[in-house]
This record gives sequence, structure tokens and C-alpha cells, in this order.
Amino acid sequence: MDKLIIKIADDYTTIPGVREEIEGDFPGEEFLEKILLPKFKQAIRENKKLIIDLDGTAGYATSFLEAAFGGLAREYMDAKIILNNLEFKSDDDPFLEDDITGYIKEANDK
Amino acid sequence: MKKLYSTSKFKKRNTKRAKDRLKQQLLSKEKAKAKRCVMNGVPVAEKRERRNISRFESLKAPHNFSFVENTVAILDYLETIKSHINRRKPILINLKEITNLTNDAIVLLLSVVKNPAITKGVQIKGNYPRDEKLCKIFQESGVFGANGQNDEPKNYILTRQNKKAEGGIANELIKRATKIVFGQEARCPGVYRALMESMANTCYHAKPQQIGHETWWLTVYHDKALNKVSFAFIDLGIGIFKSSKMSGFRDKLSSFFGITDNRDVLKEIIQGRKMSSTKIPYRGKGLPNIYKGLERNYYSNLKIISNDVKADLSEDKYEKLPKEFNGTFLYWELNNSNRWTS
Repeated sequence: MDKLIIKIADDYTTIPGVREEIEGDFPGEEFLEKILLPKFKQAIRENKKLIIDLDGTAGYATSFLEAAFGGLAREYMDAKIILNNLEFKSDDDPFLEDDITGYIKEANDK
Repeated sequence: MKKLYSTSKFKKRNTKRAKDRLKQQLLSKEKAKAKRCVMNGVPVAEKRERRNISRFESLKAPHNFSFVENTVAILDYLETIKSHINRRKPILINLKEITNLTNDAIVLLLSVVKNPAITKGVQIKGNYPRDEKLCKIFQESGVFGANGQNDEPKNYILTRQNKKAEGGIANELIKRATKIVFGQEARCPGVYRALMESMANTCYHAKPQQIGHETWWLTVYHDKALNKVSFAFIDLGIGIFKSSKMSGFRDKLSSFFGITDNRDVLKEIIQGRKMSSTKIPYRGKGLPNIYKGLERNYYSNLKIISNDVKADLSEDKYEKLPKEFNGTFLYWELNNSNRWTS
């Protein structure tokens, strides 16, 4: 299966912000809207895996990750389709992948 | 008729009065001379400053000037400062006698004296600790002067303030901290996360009706002797528990689980069992994740003080404060046993 790649440090910023623009620069909602969602739609369309390379940034706030990846799951109203089509690379922070998977799974909890 | 001033009674009284006046004059001269001796060699500007300061009400700071170690005394001191401000009395923050000083108390003092909403135009001055080491720390903190953003390379205490979550500031402070602790500029994803979450909490929760209106303050201090860097973060918003209260979360805890004590509420929050005060289910992960950072060894010695609770999360100790702190305070340390990435 072919792959598409988003390297957040190169394609967006090395200093990710929090959830919304009102709280500061480089928010998760903006990343979702401008980068993650279009690329994910492309991956689905072209039947490719989307690799998210999380390395190279200063770190991630929980609210950034939740807004971006939880937001993606809310967009599709389904965690499975997201988890089946996303792959993560995170050598800098070994806990990130599990954290993000949790946010995706909990995104549509009422 | 005999003239009045030639009577013996008048002469006697007049002589006594003259003697008394002479005595008084000599005494005044002596006092003025002594005062001149003390001020001899003191520059004119300093003489003027001393005269100026004498108008201020001197408020002696607690000897142990540490918010983390001496929380109640520091809260008492802040209350005294605020009550003088309310009476519109100029204040001298008198730190001469302090014997211990930590950056958490500095950041707290900064958040008060640099906040126009609190100082209300009342003049506030301060003196520096007599102890040379403490004096240096305090001078470099910029509490009574510029706020330390210039000539930074020689500073070992750094102060920042803002209203939003600033990744650039977090990144810069981490780079400096890691250079000190690990001997090279590095990244600490856990510290970055804790800083960003703290800033975002201030932005969103400190004043729920006004997003982005409350200022956060942060100091980073390098303890050379112990080779550790401590981060002290503060906002003077409504505090964690008043924020939770607003969402009715406390009422739910109380009615379902009988939890009324804020110490137990905090335990619920950091375990992630709480719905955020924003009432949106997927929010409210900030504090639980700051706690996770401690469990994952991203930093050590995590402490939280808010409203009537003081928690040492590293020791699992929760203390009820007899005095309320209106705001949220977070403290943690980075040392060379913590996790980092190059």
C-alpha cells in the first residue's frame, strides 16, 4: 500500500500550539483544517496510508493533538476509519502514539 | 508702680524659660549633627531616595520567602499587601531580613506587583535581601525593575508573561534549561506539554467569561548547586475548583460519590475522571496530562496550589490550606535524571 506523509515539523511548525487560534498560534484546529483533513481525504481517495511523522518539534500539547486527531475522528464520526488509515512515527516521544490513539477512540464519546 | 519684668517672680520664670529653650536648641543641634554624620558621604540621589522611601509603609516579608515551603505565611503577606493597597497606602516590600528565597515566591510577587488591576495605581517599592546570594537572585528576577528580558545570558532566573499559549516562549525556556541541566540544547516534549497546557488553562479557564484576558507568569530558575532547573507557573484567575464548581461538576461528585473536599476533587481531576469545566466531553485533559508527565519522568517534584488545596503530587500529599489562594500555581523541576531528546 502506497503512503502519503505529513511531517509536522516541516509541513506545519516546530512549535505546535494548543486547541484554538484564540488561545495562541499554530493551533490543532488549524492543523486539522489546513493540513491533516485534506491529506487524509486524499489518502482515502487514493487508497493510501497516511503517515504522520511527529518528530522534530518542541513537543505537543494534549489539546493540540486532541483537536487535530480527535477532531479528525469527529469529522468522520468514526474512530475505526481513522485508525485504519493512519500510521505514526514518533521516536522523540514514545508515549505519543498511544496518547493519540486514545484521543481518536474517545473523540466521539458522549 | 514697679515694672512687671523687674519683679523677682518674672525674672525667675524668664531665666528658667531661657534655660529650657537653650537646652532644646542644643538638643536639636546635636540631633541634626548626628543625622548629618550618618548621611555623610551618601550621594544626593540616595539621600533623596531614602527620604522618599520613608513615606512608604514597610511590610516585612516572611523570613522563609518560599510559596512552596511556606505557603500560608506568603498568602498572609499577600493579603497584607492587598489590604494596604485597598487603603491606598504606598508600600515598601521589605525583603531585608529574608533568609530563604525561591522562584515560586518571586513569580507570585511579580504577578501581584506588576498587575495594574491589583495595584490600582498605588506606589509599590521594595528593597533587596541583606543576604548577598538572595539579593543577586532577586535583582536578576526584575521584580522591582525591568522584567529581566534583556541581558539574559548572565541571568539564571528568567521571567515571562503573556495571555496566550506561546510555543516560542516554551521552546526558548526549555532550550536554556536543558543547556544547563544536560550540557546541551535539547528538547523535552513533556515539559513543553506541561507549559503549553498551563498557558492554555489560564487562557481558557482563569476567567471563564473572558477568554485570553488573564495573564500568566512563569519563572525558570537554575539552582547551580543541585544542578536542577525549577519552573514556577502562576495565574491569578479563579482557580481550579471554582472553575469546576461552575460546571456543576462538584455537585455531581457530591451527590454521586459524597465528595465535597477539594483535595478529593483534585484527585478526581488528575486521574482524568473529570469532565472539563467547558462542559465539552473531549476537553479537560490538561491537568491529567501534566500529572502523566510526572509519571513518565519528564520532570520531578510536581506541585499544585489552587484555592484551598496544596498538592505535592510527587509525594501523593494533599493538604487543605486555611487560607485561600485565588489562582492556580504549578511547580516542577527538571534534573539530569529526567527524560529528554537531543
